[in-house]
Amino acid sequence: MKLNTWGKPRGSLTFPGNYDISDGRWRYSAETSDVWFRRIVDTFFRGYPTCCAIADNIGMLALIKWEEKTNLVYANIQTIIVSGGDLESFYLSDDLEKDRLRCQYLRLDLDMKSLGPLFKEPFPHIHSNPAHEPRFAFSFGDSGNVIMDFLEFIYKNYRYDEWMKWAENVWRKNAREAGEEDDPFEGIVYAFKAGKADLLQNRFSKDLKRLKSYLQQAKDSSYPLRVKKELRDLLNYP
Amino acid sequence: MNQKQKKRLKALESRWCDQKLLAELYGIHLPDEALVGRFRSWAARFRRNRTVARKNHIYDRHALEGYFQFNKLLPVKWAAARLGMEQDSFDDLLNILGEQSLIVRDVTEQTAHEIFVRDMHKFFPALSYTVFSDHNDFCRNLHKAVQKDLGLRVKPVRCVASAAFGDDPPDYGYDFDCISSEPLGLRHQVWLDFGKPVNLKPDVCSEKLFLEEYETLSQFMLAGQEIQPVREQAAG
Repeated sequence: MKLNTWGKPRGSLTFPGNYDISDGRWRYSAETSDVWFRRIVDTFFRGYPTCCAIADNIGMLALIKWEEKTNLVYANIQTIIVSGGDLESFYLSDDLEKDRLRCQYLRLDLDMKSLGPLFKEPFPHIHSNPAHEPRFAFSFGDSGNVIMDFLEFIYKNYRYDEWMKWAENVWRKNAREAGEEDDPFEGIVYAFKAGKADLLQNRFSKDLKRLKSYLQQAKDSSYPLRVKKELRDLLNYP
Repeated sequence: MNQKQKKRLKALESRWCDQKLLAELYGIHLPDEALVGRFRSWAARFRRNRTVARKNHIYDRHALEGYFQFNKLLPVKWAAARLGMEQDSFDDLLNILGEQSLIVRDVTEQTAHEIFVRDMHKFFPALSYTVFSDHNDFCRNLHKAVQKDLGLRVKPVRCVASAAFGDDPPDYGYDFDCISSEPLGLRHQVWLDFGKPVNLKPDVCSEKLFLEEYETLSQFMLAGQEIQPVREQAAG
């Protein structure tokens, strides 16, 4: 997915390049998820579902706008996640396969110029279906890197295997100076798996903080657009 | 604690162990020329302390686990437990997948690639893009898919502590109690400290055995855990 701002002071970008958001929205009252997805793929991806894929089973459509070089002012990122198959099988699915293939829709919404009624719409928020309600507050990190945090949210939830590979690589790259017998990564992973909150708190807390800082740095260095944390805190309640 | 367990406990305090203990802990049967040769070569190339074996087939188990970890391998006994199945079932599964040319076995048949174990569900189309809620959910669905797609009825391995504590159904096994060798799930583990390096998977025993032998085992509990003998009181 190419949403590179190329250092421009302001602008907007779409993925795919020919994406028109008014045509891309899921017409919830008139379309089922598979009908919408086929229309999207045929309209914007010339009938190739893999062209919208960020992973075999995850597709995205995005519109973002920014000002002052790094100030993210608008984001609308529609995501479709298929389970039980990949995007291609969902695109080609017939009635028989519909029971096997399930689809989850998620949309990140952030709009500085459309905040909704007082405290009604968290800033930013996620929709789990194309209709208006409910809106779930999207909690991003202190650096305000909403786009990357949203991508990470998707990967952690639906492609944890891939996220884990990335996390391990980030750790290894940053912690290489540690000796061969001092690397706590496996221990941390296993402690989470075994539900050892006491050990994580009492034994691995420093390493966990290091790991989180490495992961955040890796995300932050790869994408420039930000939302100010102070603004989020001001606009949101509770 | 029976005599065998006492002996095991004593043996675990040292990193050096004989073939019998290796077989019990890892299911590894030595001498296996291919495995030992690779292990020694790895140690010579990558370890500060290159001595990993002594006379009479005594091996450094910490180094051996380091070798497995570095090469992303699992002893077959552990690999089977990661999938919540008996080793016989795991062998049958590997043979079927091998016959279908879906996998290539490692040079030695005593180890399996970790990635292959982790991604085992991807061999089954119905599970390839499934997110599992936990190890039990993973094993339950995997075993069903193995039976449906390959016609192999998997013998599950269940956590002994979970069964003893009355969990219904008991958790699937994931590991082994290093003292009793009984299968152990993820929920009822106590991590023990026998001086193993922090980069390696900890030696674990079941919460059940730990509570039964609290006086003996509490001195080996890895610092940082907060485990009190409450279950006995609750049962009483």
